[in-house]
Amino acid sequence: MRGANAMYLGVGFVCLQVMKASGVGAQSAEETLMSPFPEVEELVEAARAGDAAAWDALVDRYLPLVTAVIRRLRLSPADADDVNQTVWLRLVEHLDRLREPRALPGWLATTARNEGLRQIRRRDRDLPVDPGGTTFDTAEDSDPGEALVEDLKSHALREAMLELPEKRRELLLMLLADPPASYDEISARLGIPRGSIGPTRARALEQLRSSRALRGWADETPVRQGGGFDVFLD
Amino acid sequence: MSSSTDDEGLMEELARAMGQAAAVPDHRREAARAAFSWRTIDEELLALTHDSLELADAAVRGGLDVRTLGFETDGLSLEIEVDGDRVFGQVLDAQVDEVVVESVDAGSSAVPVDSSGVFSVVVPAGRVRFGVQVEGALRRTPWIVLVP
Repeated sequence: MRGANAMYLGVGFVCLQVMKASGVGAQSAEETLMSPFPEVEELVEAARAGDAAAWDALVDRYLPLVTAVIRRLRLSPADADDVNQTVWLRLVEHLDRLREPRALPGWLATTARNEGLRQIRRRDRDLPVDPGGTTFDTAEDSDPGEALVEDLKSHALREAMLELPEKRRELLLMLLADPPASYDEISARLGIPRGSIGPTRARALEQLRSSRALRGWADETPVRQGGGFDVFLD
Repeated sequence: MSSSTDDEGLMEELARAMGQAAAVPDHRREAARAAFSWRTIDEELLALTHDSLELADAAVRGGLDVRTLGFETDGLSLEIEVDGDRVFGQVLDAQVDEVVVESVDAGSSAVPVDSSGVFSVVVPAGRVRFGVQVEGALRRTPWIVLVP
C-alpha cells in the first residue's frame, strides 16, 4: 500500500496551491500526483484485512464528500465534528458487511445526512418548546435530493481526475488553482508550448467526460435511480 | 466535439469538486482515520431496536427527560434508560456477569451486572457503545451518544 496515504488528489491540489504561493514543494506535489490510485474494491478488501494505510486512503478519497454533505446542514462546528466521527465509526462497523463497494459514495452521503438530521433533532429536543413555533427550520438548502446528487457528482469528478494521465491532471489543477497559473508558468512547469495548453485542456476535459467514474456515476448512483441505499448492506 | 461553453461548465464543476477536497479540515481527517482503531472483526451487532429520542412526536415523549433504548441480537436483548449521565440497564434472556462500556474519548470499562441482569453506570460524554459477552463472543451495540 505504499503511497496510499498521499494518494488522494486533493493533497496534490493543496500542495499545488501552497507551492504556487511559496515557490517550493514541487517535488512532493509531483510524487503525490504520480502515486497509483487503487480501486475502491482493493482498498476495502485491504482495510477489512486490517490494513490501516488502506483505511487512510479510503478516508482521503471520501472525506471531501462527507464534509460537503455535512456542511450543507449548517451545524455548529462541534456538531459537525460529531457527525463526521459517527459516519466513519459506522463505516468501520459495517466494513465486513459491505457488499457493493461501488455504492460506498451513496451510502456515505446518505449516512452523513441522516446522522446530521439526527443531531439537529437532538438539539431541537434540548431546546425549550416555543409555543408559537410550529416548525423547526433546519437551515437546510431547499432541495436536499438535488444537493446530494450534486455532491455525488463532485465526488465522481474527483474520481475521474484520478483516471487522467498525470500531465493532463496537473494541467487542469494548475488552471483551477486560485488564482489560476499563467500560461507561462504552465508551459515552464509541464514542459509544453503555450500554444498547446488550450488543446491539451480540451483533450483532458474530453477524456474526463468519457471516464469510467463519470459514466459510472450516471449509471450507478442509486439516488438517480430512485432506489434506496440498502444495496450496500446485507 | 464539445463546445467551449461545455468546457467552461465542466471547469466550473471541477473547481467546485476540487474546492471541496481542499476545504476538508485536518482534524476531521484525523478523526476519520482514528475511527479505524475501533474496528472489530466480523462481529454480530447488538442492533438498535428502539430509541425514544427517535419518536417524532414530542408530546409522546412528554416532559420526562428519560430516554430509553433497546438492542437485540440472537438470544439476547439489552434495554437501557438514560437519566442525565447515568444509565440504568438490563440484560434480558441471557445470564452475564458484566457489561462493557466503550467510549471513543474515555476508553473502556467493565460494569458488574446483578443476578437479574440489572446494572447502573455513569457514562462519559460523546460516543459510547455497550458490549455483552455471550457464548464466547462480544456482542456490541452501535455507537451512540447518550451524554452530549
